[in-house]
Amino acid sequence: MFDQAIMKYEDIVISISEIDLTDDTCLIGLRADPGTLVASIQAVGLVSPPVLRQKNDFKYQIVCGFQRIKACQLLGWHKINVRVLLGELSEFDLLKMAIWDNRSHRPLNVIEQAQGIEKLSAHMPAGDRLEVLASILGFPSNKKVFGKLSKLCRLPETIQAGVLDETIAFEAAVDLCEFSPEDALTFFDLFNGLKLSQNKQREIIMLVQEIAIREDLGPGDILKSNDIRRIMDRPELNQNEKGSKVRAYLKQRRFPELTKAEERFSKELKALKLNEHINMTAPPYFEGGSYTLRMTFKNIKDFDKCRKTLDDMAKNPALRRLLEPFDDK
Amino acid sequence: MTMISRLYIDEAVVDYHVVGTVRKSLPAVPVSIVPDAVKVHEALATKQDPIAAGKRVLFLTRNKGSFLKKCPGTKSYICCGYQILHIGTYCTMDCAYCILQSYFHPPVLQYFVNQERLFEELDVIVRSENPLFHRIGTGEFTDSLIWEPWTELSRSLVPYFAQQDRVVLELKTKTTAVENLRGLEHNKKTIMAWSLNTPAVIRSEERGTAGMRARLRAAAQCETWGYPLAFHFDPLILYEGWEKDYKRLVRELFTSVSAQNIVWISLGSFRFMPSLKPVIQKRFQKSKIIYGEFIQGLDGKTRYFKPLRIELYKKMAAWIKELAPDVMLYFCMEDKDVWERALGFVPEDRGGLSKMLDESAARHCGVVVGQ
Repeated sequence: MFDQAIMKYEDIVISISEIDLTDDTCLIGLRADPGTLVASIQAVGLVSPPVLRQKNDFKYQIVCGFQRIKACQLLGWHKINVRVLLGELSEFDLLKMAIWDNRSHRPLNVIEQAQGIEKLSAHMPAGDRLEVLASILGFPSNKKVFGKLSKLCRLPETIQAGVLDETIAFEAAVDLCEFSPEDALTFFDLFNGLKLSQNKQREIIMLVQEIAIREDLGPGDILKSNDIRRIMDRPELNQNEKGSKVRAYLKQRRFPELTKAEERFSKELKALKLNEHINMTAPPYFEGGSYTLRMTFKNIKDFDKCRKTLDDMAKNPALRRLLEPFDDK
Repeated sequence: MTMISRLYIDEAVVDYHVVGTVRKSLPAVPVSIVPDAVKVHEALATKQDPIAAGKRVLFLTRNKGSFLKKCPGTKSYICCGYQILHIGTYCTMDCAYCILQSYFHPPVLQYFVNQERLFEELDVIVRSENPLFHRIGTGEFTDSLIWEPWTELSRSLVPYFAQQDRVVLELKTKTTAVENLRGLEHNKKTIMAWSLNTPAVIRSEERGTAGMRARLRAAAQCETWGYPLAFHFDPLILYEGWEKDYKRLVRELFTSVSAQNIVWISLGSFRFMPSLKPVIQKRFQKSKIIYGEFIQGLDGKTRYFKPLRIELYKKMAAWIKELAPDVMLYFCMEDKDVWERALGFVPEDRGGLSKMLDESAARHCGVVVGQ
């Protein structure tokens, strides 16, 4: 796997100030809060020393153990046990070591895989990247998956973190890669205040994108519009209700005539005064096909009641208006 | 005109006469003899935009299937019952809305040289008595006239149809490549047809096509040579200012040619298979045509919400009928409801759309239409 099957190293104690904490060449993933690692190190000490490499300026570069070093720092340590790699190693080998160090105890998350693709690709010819990277990073060897993961690094880190904490769904995040970082963050801010499934997030992205193109606006102009702000600022609505209202608003703006027809249908349906046992639905998009009338009953008395409602319905002028939705056009 | 960058020849057809004609017309173009289409597809697959690349290579091969096909209409909408003469595939022009971009995988400019079989199939329908009359056209899987600079197909087809009176041929185009039609014996059995659109649509959505006035000048030229004419306002596209532009287009049409020589005019609003949307988004990033108010139609195609189509057709029909009250006007792939609301009748009241078109062809082209 590595150019040298057995890595040469020495275990030494160094001062944390000798480590270049800003060098994230070998960091795969986002800089995260060390969380429970602090308590663990406090309780049992540093079981596994971080792996470092000495740079030309004599500072140490972290290869594996970014979080461990951060935890030690938070604990107020000044000195730390480390394992320093000896000899010349390529950046590609160092990256692989960092990845395998993580993969030895858990699978990589999608952001780590995405960053792994970006960092390793810089050291590989384009031709065989998919197979090699899939094996190193542990994602399916599939062109589509590779394409999606490759894009994720373009997103601002806040959104990458949002993928991990599920504020935004993976596929929706991939969709956001087509936008400027500023616009992507505006979408992300909206999703942060709503509770939406992946499909609904993607629906909103598509609606906003299409409205923006059609109306010669930027996505931000729509997302920050007063109409959306008013929905988001309504304290009596919960996240689900706000999500529904935002989607309904965007749908109405994207498909104004269809929305009007649907509203007209609902209004005429109400005017028919059907009881709870009878329901009528229009063909999809009023394009053609048949209307459906559904009637449920338990006994002859119920049936007679429904029949009476149907007789009244047939005489109601609202029925004609309902079945001829485009007569006033 | 699009430049052909390479000519691929199927090794099975190298000796065909048509191959020689094409090679002579493209003397500077490098030639590759290939065992089959796979080699051509492999070469295109390496290109950044295979859809555009497929327009710049020409593959000469055999048509292994039938040269005559039924128009791929669907039950849910009324079809004109036209037959396709399958001379080749794809197009050198590049229209944003063109279904051929996603219809063939991958799309390649392909021309069938085994034309002896084409004429054998035509002989069969010319002799057929059931039905007695046929309308056929070459403009479904390609543009009818893009082949003119390299082939002499129209010089074979037009005189062939001139000798019989049971079939009319419609050559449908967005080009002005009509020079080869001059002086041909056509006996009014070839209808010269143009797809028309407004200058705004041509400018933004139809790369490499002839301008609107140029198309009308070519039509007027064919009219002076005695050819019957047809026009297809398809796809009609809704955009800001469409009413003014389409109304002017209709006026331009009837100041260019005489309504009496028009066999039919079709109207078709923009519709597309959902698979075309990402292609347009990628290849025509400035195009807005896919962001209209579309719904999914009964045939799975995306089409304008019905009241929008009705309004569009009503207005177009009124503008056309005002200037040409007797012209045969029909809708391409619309339902009865749209016919009724936009034209005030449904084709079956008049014997069906096929019959209406056949009768119009009989009046203009002097053909025998069966009962």
